[in-house]
Amino acid sequence: MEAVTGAGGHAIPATRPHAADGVHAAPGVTPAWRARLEERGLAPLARTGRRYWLWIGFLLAVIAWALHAYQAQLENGLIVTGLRDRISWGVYIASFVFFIGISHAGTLLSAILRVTRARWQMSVTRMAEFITVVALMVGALFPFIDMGRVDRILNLVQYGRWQSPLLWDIFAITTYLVGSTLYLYLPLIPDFALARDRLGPTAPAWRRATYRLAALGWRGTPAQRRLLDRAMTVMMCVIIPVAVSVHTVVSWIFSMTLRVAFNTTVFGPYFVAGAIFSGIAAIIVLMAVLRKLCHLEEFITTTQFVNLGYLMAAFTLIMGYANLNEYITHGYKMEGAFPFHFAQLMTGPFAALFWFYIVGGLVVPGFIILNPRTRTIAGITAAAVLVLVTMWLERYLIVVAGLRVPLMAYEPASYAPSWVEVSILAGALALFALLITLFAKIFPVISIWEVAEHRGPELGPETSAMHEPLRRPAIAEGSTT
Amino acid sequence: MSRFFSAVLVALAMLAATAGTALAGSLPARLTLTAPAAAALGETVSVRAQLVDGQGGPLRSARITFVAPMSFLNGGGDVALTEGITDKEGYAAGSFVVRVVGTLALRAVFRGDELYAAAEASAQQLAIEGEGGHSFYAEHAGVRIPGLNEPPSFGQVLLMEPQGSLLAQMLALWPAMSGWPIAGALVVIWSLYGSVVLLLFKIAGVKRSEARPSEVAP
Amino acid sequence: MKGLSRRGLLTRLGIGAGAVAAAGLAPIHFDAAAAPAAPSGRLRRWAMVIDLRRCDGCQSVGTPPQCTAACIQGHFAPEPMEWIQVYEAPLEGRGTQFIPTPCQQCQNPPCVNVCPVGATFSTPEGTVLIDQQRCIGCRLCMEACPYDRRFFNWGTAPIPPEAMFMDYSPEHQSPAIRGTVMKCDFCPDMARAGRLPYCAQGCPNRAIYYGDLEEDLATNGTEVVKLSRFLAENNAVRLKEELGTEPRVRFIPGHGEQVGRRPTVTGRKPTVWPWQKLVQGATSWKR
Repeated sequence: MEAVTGAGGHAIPATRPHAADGVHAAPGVTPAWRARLEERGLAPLARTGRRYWLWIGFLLAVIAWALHAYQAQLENGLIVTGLRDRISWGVYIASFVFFIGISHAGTLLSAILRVTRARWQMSVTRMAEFITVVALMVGALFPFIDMGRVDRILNLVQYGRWQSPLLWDIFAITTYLVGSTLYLYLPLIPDFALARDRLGPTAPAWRRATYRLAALGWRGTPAQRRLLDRAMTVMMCVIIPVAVSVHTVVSWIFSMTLRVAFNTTVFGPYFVAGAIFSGIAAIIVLMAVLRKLCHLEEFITTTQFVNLGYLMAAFTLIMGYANLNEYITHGYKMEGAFPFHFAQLMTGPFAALFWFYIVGGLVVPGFIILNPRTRTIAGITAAAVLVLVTMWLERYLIVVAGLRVPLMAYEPASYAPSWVEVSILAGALALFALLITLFAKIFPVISIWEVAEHRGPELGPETSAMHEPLRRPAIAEGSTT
Repeated sequence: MSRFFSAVLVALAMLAATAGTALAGSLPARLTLTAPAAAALGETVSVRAQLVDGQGGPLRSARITFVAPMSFLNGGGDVALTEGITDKEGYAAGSFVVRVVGTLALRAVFRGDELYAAAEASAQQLAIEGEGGHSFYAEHAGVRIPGLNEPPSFGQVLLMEPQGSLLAQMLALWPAMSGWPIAGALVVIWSLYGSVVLLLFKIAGVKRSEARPSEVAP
Repeated sequence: MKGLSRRGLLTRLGIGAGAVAAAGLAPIHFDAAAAPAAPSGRLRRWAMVIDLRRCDGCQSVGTPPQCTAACIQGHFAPEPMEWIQVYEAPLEGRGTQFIPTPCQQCQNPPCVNVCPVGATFSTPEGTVLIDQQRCIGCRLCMEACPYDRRFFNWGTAPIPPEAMFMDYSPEHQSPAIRGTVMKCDFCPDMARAGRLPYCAQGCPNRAIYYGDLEEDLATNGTEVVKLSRFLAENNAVRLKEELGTEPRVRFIPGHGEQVGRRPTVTGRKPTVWPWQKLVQGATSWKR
């Protein structure tokens, strides 16, 4: 019973998941280590503490407030926002671009790194795929929130025009959402099988039935392994061009118009780079949170943080390069209305936001990661939080500052988000957190079979948890919820 | 008495002199217009006029405007069709393209200068004939919108009553399928998704008998 | 005020869908056959020429610009929409010029190109119209228009009296529908009735010419000109020509010199929406 290695470099378990004989595992995997991995990975599925319900309650409260704000918008129209004729897109569209951008997390980590046969990221691929699917679902809401006539949504189907960038957007995001759902589901099958087999009689019957259904009768047979490997290879290869095209198409909503700030050819690559950048930051933040909450310190160590941190630092350079290209070429010539745009960003009303984005989003995270003293889990997480915040600001600057450039001889307008827009953004963030929380309850947050079969314990600085006995009773004995 | 009369004469002469510089001149000028009697829609019509003075001597370097009264919406009046400057034989020529159907009462107009009075000439009416249907101003008015000024959109085609053979129906979809590159890419990607779903079904359908003996549940 | 009685009467009496369609009231399925044709049966190609040598922003009249006022009054444009807007642009040497700017009716219209549902469309005559009953309010067209000529119904605009007598039509956009986009429509219903658009009628200096590129004629109400000759001899230009939108509105450069304005006399009266003051509880989203 040899371990079978698939074409993409990922391993398919050669045995049933709980036959912890260690023969088919990566070097260094002891039965105890494996048992700890399975136990910690499945723990959230089995137990629910009080903190969980408090957290859910808080998120639901924020979402309820956001729904109240949206109700006010449905009743009175978009007049309740800060938008007006001159600056007619604002927080909603900026948040749309931001969330679709974060969704590139999963693709980068799961697909790109898998294709290159990297192994260190396997413990976090599941979280990355969570982020992808949830960010797409939340992000796709925003164009509908922003629409003046949501009741006419079906016009998009009945009268849809191929020539419109918005339609390309709808096709691309739908395709990406379905693709990433499939890509989330495929590696979950063996983990569902593990849950099906591990969850004891104390778990509700409907739960066990669900896992049994979702596991598709997975037994780890060679035939099944081959099929799963083939399916994952197909998805891996398809999802990368789909993801690149999604954010390129989102950028084309802007660069297919004639506005001074949008009428540039760099938008496609710029948006994709920014998406991957903010996606990495989102993974780091989620990694830090779930690592603490689910006690996964043994399996998600400084290696993941440092490697992702290096990737993020590389992307600060790429983003800096893209910004440099954009502003140097236009700034050298100062053609058309560009002097106005240059001035409003660098020295005018948006100067504080712009320089916070450049310094706080590109320079500071780079330094944090490249300086060995700050290259710790805490430091890298702080850098990631900075990146997330500044990337939202960058989307906001693109949309609002871009639209503020006067088209004719009039005074530039101003825009400030109203309570409705801020509430709905808060609700969207809460929905994002809520869906991640629910996912973490239903699916194991760590890809147990992949980590066990392929990665194994980390060689290097190890957490002390690795050598400690289990702190919690085994799942099969059942416990409080 | 004679001093009074000579003063009056001098005054009259001065009046005549100033009047000559302020208004068009008083010397007679005659204008004749030569123009065709009929033209086709879209044809270039050439007109010629000759300006001569009272003795028939040609007047040169005079601006002659060729006009016709036309109306458009709720405005009407003389439309300046073309202009010409007379040469040393007094001929001024011009040409214009006729774009209206009907009759034009062409006139040549000389507005007068310091010496000569204004003059006008008309010719027989110019009859312009043409058929509708051929547009002179060719321009694509933006994007053809299915359902508005083009064949119906894809969704509407599916809802319509089928007309003609199956081939004809499929061909009727072609204008709405101008997004074929997008459609092609989507078809490829979604077929790949479909193949993955098929693989999932296969995984689910793999028989238990394929399981190895050691994998039977403890 | 518009003459609405005949059409409105036809609608109310329900005299035949054919007659109504011929009057151009069919909202979505725009009937090209109902379009006003030149006497020879050829399709019209509407264009506008604005003679800036005669526009002084109505400084000499002492009122807000009359083209805008006539359009607001005729269409009951909600505040703060100025479908034709008089911009005051700087000139070299400390002067300014007034540029009344209606929808440029582009032949390569960025707004039509990006609309996801085809709610804004080009008619065969070249006029760009909006079907507010199809518009989903995404406002991508507003980002795409480089001339700032599209306006959104952020709130519920007051309903003008004429709306009670007519069905909505993309040709006269009344009543305004919340959550959709509106703009200057070149008054196609006026042209069909043989009249000039409101802005052309309202201009006291007769600076706005409305014409047909097919028949090559244009008029400002008092004089008729041969359009191609008028444009060529007066060095007509289009706004933002380099963008490739191919507008149908052309401008003859000037600063109101033919009506006695010196370019250094700046400022015009701000636009007002008097009809809206007569409606109780009217909402406005003017900042």
